[in-house]
Amino acid sequence: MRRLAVIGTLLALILAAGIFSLCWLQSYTNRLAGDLEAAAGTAETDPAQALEQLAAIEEDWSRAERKIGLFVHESPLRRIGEAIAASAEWLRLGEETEFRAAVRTAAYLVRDLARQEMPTLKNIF
Amino acid sequence: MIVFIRAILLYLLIIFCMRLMGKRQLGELQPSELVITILISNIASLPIEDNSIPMVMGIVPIIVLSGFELITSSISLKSKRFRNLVSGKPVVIIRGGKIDQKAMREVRFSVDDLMESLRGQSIFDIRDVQYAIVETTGKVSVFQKHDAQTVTAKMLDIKGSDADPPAVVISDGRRIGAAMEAYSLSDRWLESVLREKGLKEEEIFLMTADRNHQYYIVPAAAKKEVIQ
Repeated sequence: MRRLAVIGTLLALILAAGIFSLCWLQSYTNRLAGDLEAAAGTAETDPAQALEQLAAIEEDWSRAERKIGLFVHESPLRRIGEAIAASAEWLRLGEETEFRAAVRTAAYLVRDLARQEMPTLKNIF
Repeated sequence: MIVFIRAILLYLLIIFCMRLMGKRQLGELQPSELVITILISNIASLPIEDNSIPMVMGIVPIIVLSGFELITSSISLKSKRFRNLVSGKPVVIIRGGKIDQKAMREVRFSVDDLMESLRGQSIFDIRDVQYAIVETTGKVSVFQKHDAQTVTAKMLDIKGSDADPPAVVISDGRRIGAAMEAYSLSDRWLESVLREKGLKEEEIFLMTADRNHQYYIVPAAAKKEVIQ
């Protein structure tokens, strides 16, 4: 009976942590993708400010990456980091088309990260 | 270094889970227990080998699988129907001295498997078998015919008392307090025996004793001589 209580508690903790991490990931990725799109909008009028925004996004991502890395594979996280860095680089070079494409890719990857973690039938099977 | 730490952590987790699942897991495995053991060993090896896989990906499935095994075995204890569903039923393959070929086919047991199992129990003549049952673990339990059974005290009507087997009271020079307490053997008695034999506790490799204070001593390698 004590064993069942221990394992029951562990399973409940895992479930709670899973639900919490899922909700947190969903809201974080939505916010990050929104920030990326906002930076893309700013770039049209003020590229210098957009660069600052992207630097802040990169810093924010590098902090969050460590947390997300606790429960998500490393490779998709690395891809997102690379896409954000590429966006900033294209903007710095003044290549607007490439910049837009890179931001779209980064935002898609960020949103996809949360989508892949959702316990949908498609993801499970 | 990371791999080293990860391996230790997962090892400790598996030991914890195995202990949680209970001793049954370590003996003969039921089908569900075999599945869990194989799965756990595979899951644990992945995060050890690959640093890009988060530890959680190993820890969570191990705890979940162990937990479900524990829950399944608890339900099995309470429900015979569920037990039959998960572990199957024992199948009689020799009934009243006759081989049930249909039952053997059902459990996919060949004649060679049967003979091998019988030989493993020192039965070389199938005519000596009255009943043979394939247990859910795959082990064959055999009940021999009367004239092939080992003679027991009961058969010979010899009266006697049921004595407890001797317990280990000193192992590798260390006193086993719990065994002495269980058999009501006092420290004073043990010390008097050791004094009488001219031995110190550290000089004893093995000492067993029963409730009647009958003992058996194997001194450590330096003083090799069995004392009874």
